[in-house]
Order: sequence, then C-alpha cells, then structure tokens
Amino acid sequence: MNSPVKEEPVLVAETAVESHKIGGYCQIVKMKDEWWMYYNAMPLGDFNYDASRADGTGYMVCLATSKDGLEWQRKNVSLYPIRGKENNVVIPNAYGYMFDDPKKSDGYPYWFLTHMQECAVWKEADGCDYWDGLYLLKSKDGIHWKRHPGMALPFHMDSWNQCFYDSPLQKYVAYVRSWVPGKDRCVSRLEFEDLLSFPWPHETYDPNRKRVRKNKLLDEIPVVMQAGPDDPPGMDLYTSCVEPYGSAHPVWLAFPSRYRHYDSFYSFGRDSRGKNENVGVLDVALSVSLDGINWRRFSEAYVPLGMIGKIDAGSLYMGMGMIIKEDEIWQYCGVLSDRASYYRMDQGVGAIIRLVQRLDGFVSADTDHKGGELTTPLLVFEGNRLDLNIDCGAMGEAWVEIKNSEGKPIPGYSMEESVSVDRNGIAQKVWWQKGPDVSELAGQTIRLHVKMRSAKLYAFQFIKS
Amino acid sequence: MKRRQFLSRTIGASALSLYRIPVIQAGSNSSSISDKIRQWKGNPIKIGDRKQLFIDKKFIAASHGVELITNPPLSTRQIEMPLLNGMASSGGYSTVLDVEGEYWFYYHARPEHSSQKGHQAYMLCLSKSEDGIHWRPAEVNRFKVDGSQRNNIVAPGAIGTVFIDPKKTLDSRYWFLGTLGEREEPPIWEAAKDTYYRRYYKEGHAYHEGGIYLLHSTDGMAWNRLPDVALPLWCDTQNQCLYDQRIDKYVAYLRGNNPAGMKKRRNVRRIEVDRLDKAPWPYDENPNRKRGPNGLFGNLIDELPEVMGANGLDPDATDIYTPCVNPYPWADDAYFAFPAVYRHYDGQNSYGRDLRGKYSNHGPVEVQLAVSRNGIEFTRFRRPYLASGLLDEDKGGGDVYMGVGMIKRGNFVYHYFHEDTFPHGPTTYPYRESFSSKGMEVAIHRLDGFVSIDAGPSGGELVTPPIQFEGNRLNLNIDCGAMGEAWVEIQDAHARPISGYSFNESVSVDRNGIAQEVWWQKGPDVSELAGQPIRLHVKMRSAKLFAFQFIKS
Repeated sequence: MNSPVKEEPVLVAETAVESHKIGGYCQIVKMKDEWWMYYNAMPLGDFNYDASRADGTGYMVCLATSKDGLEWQRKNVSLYPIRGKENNVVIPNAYGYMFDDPKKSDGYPYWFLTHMQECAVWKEADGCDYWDGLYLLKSKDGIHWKRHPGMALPFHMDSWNQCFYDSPLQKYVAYVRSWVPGKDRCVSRLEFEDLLSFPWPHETYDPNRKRVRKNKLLDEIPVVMQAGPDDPPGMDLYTSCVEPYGSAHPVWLAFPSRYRHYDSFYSFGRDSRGKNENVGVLDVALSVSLDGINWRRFSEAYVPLGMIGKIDAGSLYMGMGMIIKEDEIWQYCGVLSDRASYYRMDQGVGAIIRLVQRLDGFVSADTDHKGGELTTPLLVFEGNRLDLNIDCGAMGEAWVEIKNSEGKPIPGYSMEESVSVDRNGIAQKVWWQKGPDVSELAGQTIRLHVKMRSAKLYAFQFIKS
Repeated sequence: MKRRQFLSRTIGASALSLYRIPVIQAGSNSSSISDKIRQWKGNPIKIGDRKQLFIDKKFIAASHGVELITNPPLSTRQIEMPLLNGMASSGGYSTVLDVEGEYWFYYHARPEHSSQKGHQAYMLCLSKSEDGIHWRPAEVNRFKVDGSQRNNIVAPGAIGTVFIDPKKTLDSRYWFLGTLGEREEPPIWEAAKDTYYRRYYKEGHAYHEGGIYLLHSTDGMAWNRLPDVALPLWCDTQNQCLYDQRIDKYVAYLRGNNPAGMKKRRNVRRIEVDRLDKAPWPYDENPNRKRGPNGLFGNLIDELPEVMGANGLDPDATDIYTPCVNPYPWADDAYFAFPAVYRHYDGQNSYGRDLRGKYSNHGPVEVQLAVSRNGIEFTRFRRPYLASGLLDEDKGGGDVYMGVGMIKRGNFVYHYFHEDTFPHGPTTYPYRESFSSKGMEVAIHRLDGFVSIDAGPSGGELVTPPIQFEGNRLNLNIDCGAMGEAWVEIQDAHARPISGYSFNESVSVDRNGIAQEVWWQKGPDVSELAGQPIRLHVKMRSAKLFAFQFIKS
C-alpha cells in the first residue's frame, strides 16, 4: 500500500459558519466545468456535538467551488442566514452524502442521504429527529434541497452514510453505520433497485435485542467491514468512504476512518486519555475489493496522523470523490488536531487538506533489490501492445514473459527474449527482441510472468496503439 | 492481541533474536541470546543527555518483530533559484548553509552564450533566503556576464562544496573545496589562473590531469585561492570537505575511480587532515603513475581509501556518483550521506525500444541514503531516498542529485536536490535539447526521521545494550499514528526489570511526536537511575521509533 502525499490545506476555518470547526466530512463532485465541494462546518454555540441544535447551529453542509481543485471559493447561496449573516450553507443541521441519480428518480438528478433535525431555520426538517433514521433530500441544481417524503431507513446510523447508483450492477448501493456487539462501529451494505421504495431492504427489527440505543442498527443489514484480529483493542470503523475506481470500476476502494478510543484508559497523569468517553484518535485506512462486499483492509495507515500540535494530529476523515489530474489523483481529507475538540467549543479548528496519489498508485506489487516475480492467472486480452504502470527508479528493471495456458513460455515472448522496462512511468511499453507487438496473442488464453528488481508494479493494460 | 497479552511477554520468556539488517529473524537462538544478555560484563555506553538515533544496531542488543526502515521526505517542493543576466541553470550540485538563521545556497549557473565547454562554464552562485523557500540573489556584483556586473556569481569555473570552518583558518570562516578551471573567455577570474579542471595531453596515449583546490573567504562572497593544490589528483563532479567536530579534523569526500575496465567505476574516497592550509594533503602516491605536464595526476584511484562503492547488492554497472555526506549535529555520532547512485547503460541493447546502450556514460541516477557512526563505515540502504519522477512529464523523470547540507527549523530538516528530465549522459545527445530541467527542489524531513525501527500491527520489541544516562526524563521521537502504542521498561544491565519501571507499570506512549515523554504509573521521573548501567526494553505496535534522549527537565 502506498500512502498519498499530504499537500496544502485548501480550506481552513474562517467564516462565522466555521467559527467552531470545519471539516470532518467532505466530498467533491464535478458540476459542468467546475468542482463543487460539500463540506461540514459548525458555528460556535452551546455545546452539543451532534446535528440536533434546534437553533440551526449544529453541523452545516456548506458549498465551495473550484476550477482547478487547488483554489476553492465559498459559494454564497444566501439560503440560511446564521446569526443574521449570509453564507454558503446549503443544508442546515445535517451531514450526509450527495449523489447523482442517472435514473432521475422523481425527476430529480441530485440526491442527498442524510440525518435531519427539526430546527428554526429550515422548515423541510419539521417533524424530523436526528436519532430516528435516514432521509433523502432531492435537488435539481445541487443547491436548493427538498425533503422527499418518508424515511429511507428507520434505524439510527450515526455519522456519515453513503448511497450511490452502481451502473454495472444497475442497482443503488448504500454503505451505512452499524453497531455490532463486541465490534462497536462497523459498516453495513445494502443494495436495491428502487431509490424511493421505502424503507430500503433490511431484516426485521427485533425490539428484544440489546442495543446501545433503542433503534440502533445492529446487523439487520449485512456487515461488510469491521475490526479484526489484526487491529488494536478498542478500535472500530467510523466511516466507510467507498469509491468505485476506473471507468468500468471492477475495483472498489474504501477509505474508512479507524477510530481507536481511549475509553477506560488511565494514563496516570501523563495526558487526558480516558478522561472523556468517546475520545480517541482516528486515521484513514485503505480497503480494496472486487465486488464491494468482500474487503481487504491494509494494516498500515493510508493517511497517517501528523505530529502532535499540527492540524492533522488528532482525527482524519477521508473526503469522497477524486480528481484525476494527468498522472495524479487528488483527494481531500478533513483533519482535526485533537479529537477532544469534539467535546469542547474550541474556536476555528480543523481544515480540509489535499492529498496527491499517483494514478493507480494505491497499491503496488513490490520487489526490493534482491528481486522477485509473479505470474498472473489466465487472461484473455484485446489489443496489440502491453503497457505497465511501473516505477523502477534508477536501479530497477522489470522483464515480462508471456506464457500459454499450459504455463509454457510462448516463443518470441520468453524471459530470455524480453527487453527490460526501467525507470518510472505510467504507461511503459513492454518490449521483446522482436518488438512490442502482441496482436497475434489477442483472444488467446495467456498468463503474464513478470520478474522485477527494485520496482513497484501498479497496473498493466493491453491497448490498441 | 490484547494489551495485557502483549505486555506479558518478557525478555526472559520471549524468543528474542539477534538483530540483523535488514531482516529480523524471530525465534532463533533465543535462550543463548537471553543468557548472553543476562551474563553481560563490560562498560555501558555513556550517552549522557544527548539524543541517540536508531539508524543501525548500535542500540539494539536483541529484538523481535522490528525492522530498520528508511523513510522518504515528508514532502518535496519546487523552488525558484534566481538566475540573472543571461545565466542558465546548470547541473545539480549545490550546498546549503545556515548562517545566523539565514539560508545560504550555493549553486551553479552558466552563461547562456559561451564557447567554453564542460565544467569550466559552471559559475558558482549564491542566493539567500529567510524561509528556505523564497530566494533572493546575493549582491556580489564582481563578474561581468552579458555586459552586466549585477549578478550573484562568486567563483567562475568552480565546482565543489562550500563549508564553514569554525577555526577560521587564514581568518576565513568560509571555505570551498572542489575543482577549478581557468576560463578562456569572460568572466575571467584571476584566482583561477593556471588551474585545470581537467587537461588532456598526449604522451603516446591520451591522458588527462587535474587537481582539487581550496578557496577561502571572510564573507562567503569574495573568494581567494590557496595557492597550492590540495590534491594533485583529478576528481570529477561535486567533491566536498567538512569540519568534523567529532574528531576535530577536516574531512574530504572525493570522487574515486576503479581501474579502467571494471563495470562499477565511480566510488567515494575519504581523506582527513588537521589543517586546511598545509597543502598538498597527504595521500598514498603510486610511484608507477606519471604526473602530467602541470605536475598533476589523472583519476584518483587508490591513493585514498574507499568509503562508499557499489557492490553485489547493486545492479551491474552501478557507480556512486556524488557523496553528499552530512554530520548530523542534532544527535550523537550520526552521519547521513545521500549519494547519487548511477546505473549506466553501457553495453545494453534495447532492440529499438529506447536509447539504452546507444551512448556511452548514459543512464539514470537516484539518491540513496547511507548512514554511519564515524563517517568512514557507511551502511547504504538500497530503497531510494529520492527516486526519479515520472517519464513523459514536463519536468522530472531523469537524474536526481542531492545537495550538501541540512538546515533544522523547528521539528523539520530542510535539504535540497536537483532533478532533470534527462538521464546522465553526454551533453551532445541529439534529443537532450528538448528536455528541460525541473531545477531545485526542497525536501522537508521529520527531525531525526531518516531511519526508524518499526513494528507492525502484530507488535515488536527491542532491548538496548547497557547504557548510562544523565537527566530525569526519557523522551522518545516516535510516530505511533492513531493505531500504535509503545511501552518502555527500564532494566538493569542484566535485563532484570527495575521496580517502578517495569512493563506492568508503564504507561503507553501513543500518537506522533518528536519528544514524547515516557511515563510509568509513578510518573516520568527517572533521576534515581541516572549514572547506573541500565537497559531500555521497548515494546511497540504499529509504531516507528526514531530516537531516544534522556533530558533534564
């Protein structure tokens, strides 16, 4: 697994809406010729850590826009004045996930899966309670949002839940917070065909089961991500952050926040660990999947904590959405220096930072200077050239052999006839002494056999040149 | 594994292995290692209150489940180095100095229009900065280029390294060691008269000769030459000299060569001297070698001992190109070198794929990290410290050369490197003109963070040899991220836990900090153990341990 580079903060707490904090959750979406970022912020006010402040000063969903992904401007939408001031709040007293619906259910292209809480500044939330369940909002422009009648899921699922339309599957998929006894916070997944057929499918609620809160989701929806034996004690998965990767997205990536809480810890005066419940540290992990259901999570942090005293030293929450910029992938991450600010009305904390990853660079098959090799399963390809996304640095090289279905090297493509790939490139041509043309093998069942030294191999692709 | 289970494994019961680089082999010889530790006799390492780094096995008597890892910079950033009056960027050799809190950067530029070929076209220039990111040219204004004298050139035709002499030899605080070449066209520099970067001559066969020179300056801008050549041997590219406070000597690291015909050609050779100004410096002269017409020899071969060279762990045809050695002043007995390592393509055939093998002396260069306790014996890690960037990008993807010098600001170390789009090779490549140079970049590193001893999520542990400290607190430079923790037990010299400081009484360190205080249930005070021979026994999970230090709080 390869961590991204942490680049500059793109948004820091500056406005009245952000006077307590900015960030936590954020997501970017492409809207015509610009990028929009929906992000959470919270104004200073009486202490209450969830989105239930009746005066409309809980978590706010705010909007910023950017042409290049580097410079972000808050978009003044003048919808929900907070303490008499115009601002960029598009949804008050809520946090959730915006998605576009290619089916345009009910005639609306944009939808938002969220908690809702009745408050003074937003009539759409009348009669809603943060703890009741998840609702859907709908919009024609991404700025003005209306509540869709009914409740999508009648469970309390704290923090950030997500929903989107999975085109290859031709279904809607949602990843939601569940709470499995002994595991604490987990991620559950459900799929369904009709966005507006409420409630979304789940097992029947059993009132006799023990729950932390009356209507907390346990495993009525299948759990797909949870803490395992390789994780430290007292760790659970806070958010899911599932992204399809690639245009046909046979690969799924997830960036769950891992939360190691200090509950019942006693530091004997060294620090504040264990002094408050539900305080701890969060980083971002990387999980990969081929079906969105069975996940492999890497044990190292994908986005690690920064040094104590820095803006990213306490809690990290990956933002959703990626900008593919030539050979780079840009993502955004909400950071806090100290999770204790969850319980304190600190002033102006948090930031949203930009992360830069190499194209396809999340995971690689690596060898050190002593060398290594791999053989693929049987493949059938189209095209006449083979490209590798590979970093051999200055010292490394890689050689490719093509084998037939019986595992024998195909003459002309053997290791002995292979010309090494070296250096560092996103799409490096594989070559043999006879040249790069592999068209005669297209449609046949083959395997690739790769030998490498001091190299990181990210991806391969047969192309038509 | 629960915390209690993790902590319950003690040195007596656990399978500790001998520490090996780079692979720890758990479970071997556990009983004999335990016995060896328990039956220890000797003198503890006196560490006082100085910081100690985990860069090698010096502080690891036994370990299990941990591994030494090199860490790349936290970030890199391109910087714009000023170029004035018809000057173009030239090459990747540079030096950064911390002068009373100001960054001084010596680098090379060359006139855009010049018939002077090779390295004699290099002009040593100086720029200064308050933050290490934004630079302004020093107002030197001594040498006329393109009709103007307003520029920051300090030494035309000089390639090498500037260093500070705390002894101010010849009343000069600033010294330069490197090659020097008298120019045939302006700017002519009187101080370079009768010097030869590399002069070819024929006596039956073609030969060349050259030398290493010293310059000195009171202000870092106006330079004088020491008349005598420091070494009458030719050493290409960036050679360097430094004052090594640990041994109170001046030490030079110079380009050496293996005899002709060997695939691994270039290496680094070292000399130490008591005085800068007593030239020539002592070297082991080969009586069978002939001097050139100017009394100088060709390549430095075996006149000085080799301290860095390619070996069987490197690919064929690999050279050590530049040394870039830095004594590390912020910890005890540590040297970090960032050699440029060059893999040349000579003799290869790419069957039409690319240009490999079409030119001699052609190939990619990356920066690796080598560590040492004495500046003589180096351990070089093969994982690149700075790898070349992507091919087919506008900039980057070719050579990378680290500059000499490191500057500490807060919890970070700044140092500088140069990246090209083209690999090493002759300047006459037909395609080279189409490539650009990415230029100078700054690499920002965690303080002490170049190497760490790491444990994964399954945990690991280490035991130090007996040490003797001063102070009343123990600090760790450690990154436990969000998932990790570390516990410290203090043992006596025979590996018996000392009451009050055992694992069962330790309070974990977590998160990520440069100087994290170690605590036990009774508090952080360790003053009662000062002066005694003790061992540290550290257990960690998902953590990177960089350094430890006893301090007086």
